[in-house]
Amino acid sequence: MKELLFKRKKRFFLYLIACFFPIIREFIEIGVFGLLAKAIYVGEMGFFIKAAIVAAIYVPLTFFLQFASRLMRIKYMRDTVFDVRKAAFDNILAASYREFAKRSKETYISNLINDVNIFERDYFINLLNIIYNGGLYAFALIIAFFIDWKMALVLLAISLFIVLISKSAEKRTARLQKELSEANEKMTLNVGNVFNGLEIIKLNNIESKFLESAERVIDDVERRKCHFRFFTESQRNLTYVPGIIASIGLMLYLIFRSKGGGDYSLIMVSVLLANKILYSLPNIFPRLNVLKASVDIYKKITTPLAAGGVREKDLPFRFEKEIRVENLRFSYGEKQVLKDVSFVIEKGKKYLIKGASGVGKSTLVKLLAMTYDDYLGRITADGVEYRAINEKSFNDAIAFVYQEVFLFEDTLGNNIALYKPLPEETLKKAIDGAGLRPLIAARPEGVETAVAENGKNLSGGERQRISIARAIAKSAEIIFVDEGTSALDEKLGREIEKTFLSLPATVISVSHRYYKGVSELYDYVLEIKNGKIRVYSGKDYFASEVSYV
Amino acid sequence: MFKLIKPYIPYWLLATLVGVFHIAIETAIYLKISEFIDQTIKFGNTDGFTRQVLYMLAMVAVLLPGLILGNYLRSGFVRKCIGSARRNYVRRLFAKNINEFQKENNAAYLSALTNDFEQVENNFLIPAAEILTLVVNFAAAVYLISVANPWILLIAAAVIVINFAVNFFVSRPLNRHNKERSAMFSGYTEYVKEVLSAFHIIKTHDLEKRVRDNFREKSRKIQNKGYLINKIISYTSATMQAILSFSSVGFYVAVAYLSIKGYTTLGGVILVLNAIEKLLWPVYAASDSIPKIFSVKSLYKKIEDSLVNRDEYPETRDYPGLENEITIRDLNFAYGGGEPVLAGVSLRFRKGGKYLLVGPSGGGKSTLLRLLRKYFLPQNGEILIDEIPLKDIRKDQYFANIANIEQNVFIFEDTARNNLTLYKEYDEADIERAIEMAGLKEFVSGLPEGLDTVIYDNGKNISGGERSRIAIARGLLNNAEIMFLDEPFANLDAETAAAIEKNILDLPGVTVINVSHVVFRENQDRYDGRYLVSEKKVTAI
Repeated sequence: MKELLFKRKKRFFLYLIACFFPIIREFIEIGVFGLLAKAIYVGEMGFFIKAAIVAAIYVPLTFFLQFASRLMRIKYMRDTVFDVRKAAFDNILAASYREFAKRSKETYISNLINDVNIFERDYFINLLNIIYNGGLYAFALIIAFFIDWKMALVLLAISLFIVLISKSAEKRTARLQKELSEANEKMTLNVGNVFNGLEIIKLNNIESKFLESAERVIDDVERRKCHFRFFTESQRNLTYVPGIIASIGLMLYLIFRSKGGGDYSLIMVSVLLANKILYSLPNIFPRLNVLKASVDIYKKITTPLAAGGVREKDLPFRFEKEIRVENLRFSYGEKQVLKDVSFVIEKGKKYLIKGASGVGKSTLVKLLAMTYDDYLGRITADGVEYRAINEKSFNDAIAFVYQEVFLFEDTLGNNIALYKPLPEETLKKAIDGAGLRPLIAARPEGVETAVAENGKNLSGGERQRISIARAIAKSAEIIFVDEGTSALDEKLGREIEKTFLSLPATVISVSHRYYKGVSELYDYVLEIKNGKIRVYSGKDYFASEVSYV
Repeated sequence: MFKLIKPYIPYWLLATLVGVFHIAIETAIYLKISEFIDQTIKFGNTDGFTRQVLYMLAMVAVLLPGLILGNYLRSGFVRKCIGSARRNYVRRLFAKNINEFQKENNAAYLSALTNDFEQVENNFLIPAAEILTLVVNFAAAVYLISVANPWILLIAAAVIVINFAVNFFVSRPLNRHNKERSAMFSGYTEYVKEVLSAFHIIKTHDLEKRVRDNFREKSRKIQNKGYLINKIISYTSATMQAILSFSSVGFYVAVAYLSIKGYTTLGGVILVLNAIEKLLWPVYAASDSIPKIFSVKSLYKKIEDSLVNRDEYPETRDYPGLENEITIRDLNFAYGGGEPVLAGVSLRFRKGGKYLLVGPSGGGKSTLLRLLRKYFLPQNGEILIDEIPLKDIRKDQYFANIANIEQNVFIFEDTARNNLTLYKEYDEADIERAIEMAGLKEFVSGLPEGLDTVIYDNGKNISGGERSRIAIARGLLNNAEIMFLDEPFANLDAETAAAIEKNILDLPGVTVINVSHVVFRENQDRYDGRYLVSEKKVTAI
């Protein structure tokens, strides 16, 4: 955190100074009020007019103080938060895909957007307020000591007492809040599930039971919320009362002491100072907590995502003959997904992976694509263990086609070549092989046609073809397809599927679609069932006891 | 929206009463102070100082319980109102017809239950709970200030008007900028989502540097826009600060002038300074709350509208039981004014017969099932149960006589037994038999307490295949005379599914309509009718 703040030393110190401007303003204001009080005491117009003039100068001064303070702060904040965004993103980008795949996409989005926003919102405003309140407290107390040290001591004691009340309630408040948030989660889960099942519930006429349970969970949340609110508000009430007693008491004391003849300005100033002393300190502690929380958030999003052991992986990837899987066992958490599986992937052949949803098709692909490596058994490419193969050389030889295609806001050509320098021939082959020629021919700028933000000016089929063109342009030896045609209609899906089957590369495809006459052309079908894999020829699989309509 | 509060008005009044009592005490305290100050100054008299102090301490001691009591009553009021509103919402959702309920995403209902009602609570109920207290505070302040000098009220009013005018003119550009900012952020978020989706591609194609630079550009833009907005806010915020200072300093200057001119005493001045908070705070709180209340009003109306059942068809007939056949005659159906999904469909399902409906996704077979379950009414043509139009038959009675085996299996936190029986009474022997026929024996014997085991987490850890079998067991147990199946075998392997299908086809007297896209050759001839639902038509195969 410190490195982040001190990266721009000069600006940081300007920032700190800027935080003191509001404090300066407060004390000038107290001075102005004191002057007015004296004017009342003196009772003559001449003095009053002088005081009024001072007040008149003060007002525009506040504009400049506030303006200057903000300007000095916002530039620093902008640049610092920018650094945070960069650091968080670089952090994620630096992870291996394996590490990345361990968490959901939503987590990363939360880190990059929500967490950074929370940091931006919470850190600086609370830092400012802590300095503001702290400075007010300290300086007010010092001035008070100069006026009347007995009075200052009493105020100090009361202010500490007020802080004690706030702090003693902290633990309970945190606990109540946590319980409330948990109750809310429980309610959301429960009611969400009931909504999901409402159709069945109604079809079976069992509404009343579920309505009851939903109402109960809702009531529980409301009860806790009420309790939490009451508790926090009571705490505020508790600190309010000693404050009033102190203010009133102080006023009476001062008047009594002066026996009606004292300098009103001193009384006025003392009362205002007392106000600051009593009420600034309690403001600091909750803000300290928020500050700490936002620092924790910063640390969380900039901590590297686990390095893991660096294995000896420097053999080049060679795939001339086959990828052999022997006695493969793999578990995902508690669930055993693959139980002692063995099969062979022959170069140049086309494989279709089939199975019920959740059975492990994507897992198998990830294992074959070297994404997961905590498996038991052997996976070898031309006899070389996967675990010994250099990841980069492997990645250079494979390509993926997913349901979703990410496109850059750049030319079609660059989106296909993905910024690698490609010889004309290769680009041409990729375009033709993916069936993109008609699309390119139809656009006046051909390959130089601009792709709009994430390909909004292209259809689903066109985007998928670009994805295929990428794989061809890369001269990938293995192409992994994960539901590559699921988002397309029947006719188009069939076309794309035919394209996959026409490529020279080894294709390993997961698909739940069936295209009559085309799906049978897969060389092999690997069916996953109960952790085991059965290998069929494409023809046999689709002609089996089960037919698909 | 007032309906929310009506039943709980007594609480509200009670809370207000306590608030009034509290204000009365505070007012008395301030008046006493003012008196004391003037006395001391006029007469140099400090007699009875101690008595005064004790007297005031006593009053203050009453303040605290008063505050807490008021707090308690107000929290209770809000809780009762919002609790009843939320429970009512869920109750009315339950009362919706199935097709109406399914028009909205479940996420939308959940969001309404949590977020929308939270808005109602924060922006309407809580301000409503405090409003009378605010009014009383304001009245007390007016009283106190007028005791000092009524003219000061005018000055205070001027201060309020100036502050409001400035706030109003300053908030417009601020709102516009906030809108721009959030639009900017949604574009940025979309971009980040896309990049994360393409992570694998980025890694395998060595595109890290390019993407990193890309991201930096976008982030830089966002920060700059934020900076520009902040710069503008600096002007407005500084202006507001100046106006604020002008108000408070100006006010003091005016009061000091009046005091010097003899229109009020020092005690009066102190009184005013104490009371001015009480005057301003209710005004600001109200101006804050009133637009919020209006924004909530339209939200509340939206919620109310979503709960109304639109198509209410009067169902007048009892379910007579199936004697002969279910007839579909010349049926036309389209969803909400779109293209017709089924046109001129005619079918007959004989009692006790087994029927298979196959077809491509989106071809209309699920729609046919929904029509048979009374989720929708056909636009033309009709469905008849033994010559009685289905649309006239009471839903709850019809439902009690059909069994449904669906793809999306609902499992809830209760015993395995209740998840199977759905709270109906059955013989243990029947339950055992259903479990056997659905292939659930292994699952049940794997449960620590057998059928009495409680299934937690809404069955999160139950596999797709087991869920399907639970649905099938439910359907078999139900023993209804009509059974509708919706893709029951999608999560089962071929051998298990074929065996279960055989069991279903063996059920005597039950009319079975199976909508599926998987056909088992070994069982297909046992169906009394096989139909292809495609391109709006139904043809026998």
